[in-house]
Amino acid sequence: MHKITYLDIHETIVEAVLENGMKVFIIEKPDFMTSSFYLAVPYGSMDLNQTTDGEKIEQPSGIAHFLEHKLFENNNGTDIMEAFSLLGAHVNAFTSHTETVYTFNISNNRLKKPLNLLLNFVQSLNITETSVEKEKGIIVQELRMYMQMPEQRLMLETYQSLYHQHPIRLDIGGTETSVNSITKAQLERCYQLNYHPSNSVLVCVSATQPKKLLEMIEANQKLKTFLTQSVPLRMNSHEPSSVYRENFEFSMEIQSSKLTYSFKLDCMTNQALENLRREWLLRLFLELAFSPMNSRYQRWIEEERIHDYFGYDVELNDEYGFVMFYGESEHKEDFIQLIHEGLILEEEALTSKLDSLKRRYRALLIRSLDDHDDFALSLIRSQFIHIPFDQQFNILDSITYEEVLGSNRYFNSDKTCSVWMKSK
Amino acid sequence: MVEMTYRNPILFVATDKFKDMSLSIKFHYPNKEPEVTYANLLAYLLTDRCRLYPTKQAMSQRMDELYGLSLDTKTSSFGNLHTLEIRVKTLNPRYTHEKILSEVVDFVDQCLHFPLINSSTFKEAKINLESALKRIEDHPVYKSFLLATQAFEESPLAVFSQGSLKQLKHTKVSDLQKFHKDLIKKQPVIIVSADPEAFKQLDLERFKHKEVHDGSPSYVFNQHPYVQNQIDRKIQQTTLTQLYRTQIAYGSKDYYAMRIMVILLGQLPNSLLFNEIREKRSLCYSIQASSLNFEGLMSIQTGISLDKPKEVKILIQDQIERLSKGKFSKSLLHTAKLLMLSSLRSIKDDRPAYLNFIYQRLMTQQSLEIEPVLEAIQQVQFEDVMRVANLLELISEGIVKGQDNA
Repeated sequence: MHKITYLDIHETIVEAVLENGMKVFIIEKPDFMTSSFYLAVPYGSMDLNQTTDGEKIEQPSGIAHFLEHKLFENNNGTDIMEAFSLLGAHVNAFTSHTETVYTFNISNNRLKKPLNLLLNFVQSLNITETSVEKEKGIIVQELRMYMQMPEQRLMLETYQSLYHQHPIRLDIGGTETSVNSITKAQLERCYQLNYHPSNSVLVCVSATQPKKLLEMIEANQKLKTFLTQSVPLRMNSHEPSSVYRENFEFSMEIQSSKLTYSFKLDCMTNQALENLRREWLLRLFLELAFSPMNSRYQRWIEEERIHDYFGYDVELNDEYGFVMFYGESEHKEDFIQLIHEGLILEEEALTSKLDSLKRRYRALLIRSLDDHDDFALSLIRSQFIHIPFDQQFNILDSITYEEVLGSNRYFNSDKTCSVWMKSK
Repeated sequence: MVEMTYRNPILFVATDKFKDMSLSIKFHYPNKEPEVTYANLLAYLLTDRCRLYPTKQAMSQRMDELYGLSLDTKTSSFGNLHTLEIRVKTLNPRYTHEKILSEVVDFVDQCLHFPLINSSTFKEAKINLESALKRIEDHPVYKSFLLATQAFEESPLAVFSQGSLKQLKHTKVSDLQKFHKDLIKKQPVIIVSADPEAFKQLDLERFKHKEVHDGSPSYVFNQHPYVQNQIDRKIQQTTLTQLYRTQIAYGSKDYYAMRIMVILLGQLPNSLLFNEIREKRSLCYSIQASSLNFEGLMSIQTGISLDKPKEVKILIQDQIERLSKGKFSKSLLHTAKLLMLSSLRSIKDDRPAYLNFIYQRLMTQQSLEIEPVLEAIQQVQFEDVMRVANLLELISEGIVKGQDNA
């Protein structure tokens, strides 16, 4: 057990690695009534082609999300959701591109039973052919629900325009065809490969003494045996550096046309820390160029080229990177032109603006630690990419004006795509 | 440790567990048009620019100087009333090592009392609101809710909390200037949640006014014609909203029995609707019931297969009947009570929820403490749930119908 106190942000985290390899983090929140627990595995929708001990395993899209649904299935006659409810706990789960997280929160200090329940249901899979078939109908309805939401559909089409091969182009839930093709045997194989204590992270946010919590967790884990196995690796998808579709248009029953204009980045490195730094550089650059911080932003609005439904997103990791701008416009070419105008950053008092912006982001990072979910997920994600969670603060502090200005070299005009969702 | 001090009209909630402080200023007025559309336009203008910071850039710069101060506005329906809230959050001084809170109050004062309302800013706010309203209408879940409520023209229920496209077209800058002038003359409810030390730096006297807003939020919806409104869309799912009269007023004797009944029906992870419609028959991904506490209404919403609305409606009716005939387990009732108690006990960890709880209790002149509510929930019996389920009456349905060839 190792305790770290972060004086600047008034937080204390206790870390431990169990005998079976599970990493445990306990965030002490002495003044909070609510305790929250998160059990995570680094297995998400992008893990469709994996390799382990020389064997290549290919799975249908949506399988990680399907597995998340099935882990809640009755285990030894107990309904998992009902069992948590009976203890006064709220349970939930989600699957992202790179991880699956199971979580519950509770407002009393009787933590042993729900904590055991979390560890037990995630560490065992008990499914039948019938229940797998039944789940398909539910997931298909979930996929349809998201597909009729204009913003979700626009996002998916943007990923599909940016990428030829990479699994980020696929919906986290898969497609109706892929979901309908998933079998019990495939789910069991994925589970066996990816749900092992040695790649799991458990985060506890609680007022309860860390020592006591750790004893509960250790007692639960000591009763179980797990086969030793190699950690499966996601296989490279051999993604070309070009975009898949430069221009794509489609229509939906909406009242205002929406569009995205995106840059496919090729500045990824195999160093997580460097990728994080570059992502921060881009974020700062974009905020300085495309927000009210820049006087041009107000002019664009007054000229009715954009309105408040305008923004950007940036993602950069060792596998893929993109910057995506979104907005509502009936004039696609003008929107694209505006983005290119914005990328030429005028140097008006940039140093002082950058300092203001860093101050804002530092405050936001500190404030996010009040939110159990934000804090825990930030910790989980930093573990999965093997960097200390407080590196964000160090990176932000060390970024210089020259670096931010220089980050516009990451935008390559030959690797862009536009997606236009027109109103019918 | 949370302590409350009420020095009318300002309520201080002292807590040192958060990393920021929060100031909430809430105005209320009748829940009707054109006021609601005016308030939604004003919501944009209050956070956009003001006399002292006349450009977006100047506003942004000032907010960054105040350690990433966040200034948000939110409008919402509150029964007979409609609320415009200005919420300010900034980092607790123990992280900034600077005494900035008096400057924060000056900034809020400027935004609230001297927003720039001219033809240019007004035009911009109109474009933003029009675009937001259209996006809401494009969303099948919201659209089905709007379809379910639009029939009741004489009631606040038919007033959409985010404004009206029709009213927006006829609104002039002078209307908004007058609305703002009248609004700030009256006393808002002010709730501050911060470190006890931070209070000493806050001078909120300037927000005190003599005129008070009047009106009570709670009413019991008493129209009961059955209405169905449906539109077709080229989508692969049908979205259904049903509205039921509960006949129970906020804070009345049966109020918590009604809340528990709604949880049993469609809020628990093993609620009757979830179990029968999703888990047993795979007819939907999500289905939930919600209570509209200040209107005396309950809604049920779900997205279902194109050819299944009839089957789902029958199943919903069956579950309501189960409740009214007592065909549910005591264990389910116990779970519903437990989860409601658990949410309430932890409400002080969720600041927006806690401030909202306090506001609603203040406005309905009920105790601001949580304990009486916990006790009322504990008192709810099996028979109470049956009785309130018997009062439910379906009054409208809004349907966004998908199509086979979508």
